[in-house]
Amino acid sequence: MGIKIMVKCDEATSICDKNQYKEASFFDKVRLSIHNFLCHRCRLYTKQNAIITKIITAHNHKEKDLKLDLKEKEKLQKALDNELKKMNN
Amino acid sequence: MSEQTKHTLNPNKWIDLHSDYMFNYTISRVSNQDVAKDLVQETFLASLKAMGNFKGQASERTWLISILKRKIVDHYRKSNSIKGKSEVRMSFYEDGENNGKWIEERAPSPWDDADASIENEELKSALDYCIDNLPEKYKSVFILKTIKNYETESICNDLGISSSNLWVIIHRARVQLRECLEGNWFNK
Repeated sequence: MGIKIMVKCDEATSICDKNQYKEASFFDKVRLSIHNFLCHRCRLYTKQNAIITKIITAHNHKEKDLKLDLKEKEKLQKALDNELKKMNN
Repeated sequence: MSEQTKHTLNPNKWIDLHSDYMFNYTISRVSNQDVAKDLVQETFLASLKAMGNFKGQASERTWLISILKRKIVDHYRKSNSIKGKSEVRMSFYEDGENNGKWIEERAPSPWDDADASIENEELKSALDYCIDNLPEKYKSVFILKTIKNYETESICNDLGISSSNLWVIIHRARVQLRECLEGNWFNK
């Protein structure tokens, strides 16, 4: 069969990263499991990567609503006015 | 209403009506305030020049955002050609007999404190610090994908990158985050 089963560390960790978003394919997950069985570093990576994912989901991000301050808006307005003037000339 | 209402443009009100919205839209995609401000300004100026092409079918804001989107894609194209890949250090050998294996000193070490509470606010701050230190493009893609939970496809469209490109970026970002968190928190 032409299916590649053995992957290297960079591929295994890439699969692990994709898997954090549940977007790794079934075969990729098989490849990762086999690789991790043999490789303690990638096993560690998988564990720590999951921790990073957990930290992010645990601290549900609140969307910050940013506003431009008045100065910024004045600057923008000036740039806009200048351009309008040029166009009207 | 049988007749579709025609939208009009009123540049004198653009800043009041749309600048905050456009700034927020941009900041979530470029994650750098100064770059975002510049892009918003460029968009307003480009929109003025393009006013003749406005057909009144879309609302003023939709039209402005469509121009902003193009500016954002351009921005990433430019930053691609300037900085390239050198910003992220490689963690795996790229050739030779060790090709694809961890580079010794960049490989994961066991974390001292790995069972500590995930809810810990300081741990969260440490991670935020690490995210903040990613190169701009990595940071944007990582945030859009991981924190905002955007679909892969929509991120690719917004930033003008391919999906394989996106996964390479996510991979490098996560490898770097793991290492940063190890050095700044777990095995300080």
